Amino acid sequence: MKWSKIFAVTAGLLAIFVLAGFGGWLYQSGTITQWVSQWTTPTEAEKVESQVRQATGAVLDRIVGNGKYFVTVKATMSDRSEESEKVTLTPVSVTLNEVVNTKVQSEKESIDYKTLDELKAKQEAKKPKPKVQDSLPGFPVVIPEDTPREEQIVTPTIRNPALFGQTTQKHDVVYNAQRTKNVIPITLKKITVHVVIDERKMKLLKLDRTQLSAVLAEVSGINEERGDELILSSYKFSDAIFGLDQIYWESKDKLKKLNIPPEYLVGGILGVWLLIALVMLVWVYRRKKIARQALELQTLLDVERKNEREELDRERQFQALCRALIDFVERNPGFTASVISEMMSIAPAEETNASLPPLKKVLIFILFLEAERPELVQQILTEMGESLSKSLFQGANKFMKVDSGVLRAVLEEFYRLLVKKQYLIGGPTISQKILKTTFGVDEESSFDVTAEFSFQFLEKLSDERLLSFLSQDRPQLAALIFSFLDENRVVSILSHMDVDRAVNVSRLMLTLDVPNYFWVQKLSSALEMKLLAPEVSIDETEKLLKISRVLEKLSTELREKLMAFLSNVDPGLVQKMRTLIFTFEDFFTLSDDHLKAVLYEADIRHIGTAMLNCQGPLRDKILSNLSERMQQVVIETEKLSVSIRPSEIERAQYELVRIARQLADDEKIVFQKEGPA
Amino acid sequence: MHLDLDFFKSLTLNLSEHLASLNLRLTVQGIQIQERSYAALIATMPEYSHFAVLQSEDTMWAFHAGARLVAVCTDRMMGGPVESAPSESQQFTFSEQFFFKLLVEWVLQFGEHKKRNFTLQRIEHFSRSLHLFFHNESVQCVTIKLKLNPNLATTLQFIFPEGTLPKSTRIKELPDD
Repeated sequence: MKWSKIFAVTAGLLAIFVLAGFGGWLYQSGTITQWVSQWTTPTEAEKVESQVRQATGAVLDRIVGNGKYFVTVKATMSDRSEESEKVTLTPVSVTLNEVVNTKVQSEKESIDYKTLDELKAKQEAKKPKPKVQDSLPGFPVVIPEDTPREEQIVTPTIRNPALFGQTTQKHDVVYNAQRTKNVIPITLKKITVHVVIDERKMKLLKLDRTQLSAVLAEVSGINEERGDELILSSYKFSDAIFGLDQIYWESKDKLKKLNIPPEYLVGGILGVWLLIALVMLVWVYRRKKIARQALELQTLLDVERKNEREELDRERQFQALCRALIDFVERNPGFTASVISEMMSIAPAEETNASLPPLKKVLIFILFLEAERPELVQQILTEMGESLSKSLFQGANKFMKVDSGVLRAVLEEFYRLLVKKQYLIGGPTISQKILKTTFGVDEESSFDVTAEFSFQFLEKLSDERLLSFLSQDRPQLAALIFSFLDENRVVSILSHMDVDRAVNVSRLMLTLDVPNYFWVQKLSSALEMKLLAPEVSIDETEKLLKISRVLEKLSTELREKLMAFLSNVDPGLVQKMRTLIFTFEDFFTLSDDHLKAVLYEADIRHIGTAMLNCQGPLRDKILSNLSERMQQVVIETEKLSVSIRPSEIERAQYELVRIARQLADDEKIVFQKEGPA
Repeated sequence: MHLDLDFFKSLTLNLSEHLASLNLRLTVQGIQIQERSYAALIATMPEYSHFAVLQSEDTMWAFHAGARLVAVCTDRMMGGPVESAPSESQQFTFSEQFFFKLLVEWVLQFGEHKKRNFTLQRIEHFSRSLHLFFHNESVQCVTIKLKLNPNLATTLQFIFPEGTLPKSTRIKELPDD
């Protein structure tokens, strides 16, 4: 992740450098300037076209309105290359032996002189004209003085001696050559103005075409002699877009009118791009910052919510704990009083933040009960006796305020002590002591725990039945039950028990811990229901029914094998069993309504699989009791289920049988084969 | 059914607290979520164990408690030692079945408390009698590996049809140790 970021940043910087270098090269080579100047510097033709378009547009705006006309102007200008050049040769020095008659002819002017003085005078006269810096179109271009002059040595050749005298002398003349350029100004050759007006507007305003043409020709400066043209035409304009072209031209004209130097424009564009990039960078940074802040905020909120939930859960747990504690005290005030008495008898240790003296804990617990159920406190104090109660409340004089954390800790301790009985486990001496105090019995022999556990039903149970049951159950149950039975009875049962099992049970009796009262109470009730339930004599029909149900669950192959074996022993019995067994084939005997009830409860996949090897009337009956959609699903399942094994088909069929049997047990359907199940 | 990993974590922690009244310390060693065929899953499970078939809306699923867990808890409930062994016979005793019913009742109450209502359909003690899915059908199984206070390893398992648990919970935590 980190390397990818570094690579991306490096690549970005590299791209910026490359782009900047390319841009600089373009600017240096003048490409950008040239390109920009095309958009910023108007040509002569464009100036004229713009003027004409604006003038015409101003008139048409007033007449037909904006967007209801379209003007195109085409101006043809004279070519700038039509220019002339004049070269002036000025002699600087002449080496003369004799009078010379020389004639040098330029394109338009000739110089004639006969003597050296005349030549010099002429030279003075031909001194350079004052320099003109301006080079407007149409004005002669004068080369400035500091322009390097071209010095030539010309040796004229006398072409016709007869014209210039009789004597022909050789002479050397040094000339100063001056080039003069005459540029003919760019002139307007022709203007073609094409005006298109919306036909509907023309008709609406009833404009006279001739009159309008005249006005427009006048405004746009049409000169027929020069060959200018004004073409006025009208068409029906589209309603969707109008005036966009006009806006384009106007915008372009406005831009060009500004006459912005290309350098400034390039700089401006670059500046705008940089600004946009900067804004985007700031935006991305701020966005990331906001996202990070949002994430932090979300995390904080999550933590806060979690804390709130945990606090809520703790509060709920604490409230549940308080309810359980109060319920327990309400049901066992004597036991609670005995536990409190025991706690008060413990010598107080040094009080720390982590642990309070037992007396203080008891006092907090009593005050809590007083706030919730005052009547319970009265019961407990009555159980405790007057002297203990007085000693308890002697400590209350120094009691000022109990922190909620301390209250919670104390109540949790009492909950563990009283309700969960965690302190009782592993200490039979302590538990016996507490229990004895609870029931107010001093003699150990008269201590009767059965009153708590209600295992009294065992007295009604025969030893044989109890032995039979305990021999099949866990040895621990025997050890628990024996702890509530008379010694003689225990001996009697143990003596008939398997030796190994008897030894094991005896060992467990020795290490018997305090059981869970609540669950053992439930177990006692369940055992009472099971062991004291009237022994039902199972007659032959019920046995037959039971074996039939067993056979019903077996696979067809195994069932038929067993039936064949049994038919050898008792053919009549097998016949009876066949009437009691309900198989998949017996669905044919169900009424349509009952069959629909079964199919409604069944899974469509089971139906589809079960019908894979089902043919004939049964198949038709089942299909006829399915909806059209279900029928399609079953048929599709049959098509797709080519590789399903016979065991899976049987399992699916049994699933349908099981549903049918369940419905029959619930008396929702009736098996015609065997009558009400 | 809106079940996720947090639900099972919460269930296990609450069960640990619930069984603390038996002076049993139940620690979670890990939660493993597997997706495999029903036949392959059943093959890995003990043939005789404690299964409860539960129904939530239109989904049938199974809850399995290890025989060792049930045996230890049953004995502890009756004041026995922690080092208990499950029944040797293939049939579980009345007291073991009774405790498993208590356990299932507690799971139902927990589901109700967490606004996930389940109903008990039946209790089975033979894995091949479950008949919940086809053998080649893909199922999801949440296995909670537990350790009872001395050093006894046991498991709780929840078997669902494919797609019951959201994809985000299809993760494996703490591989087999």
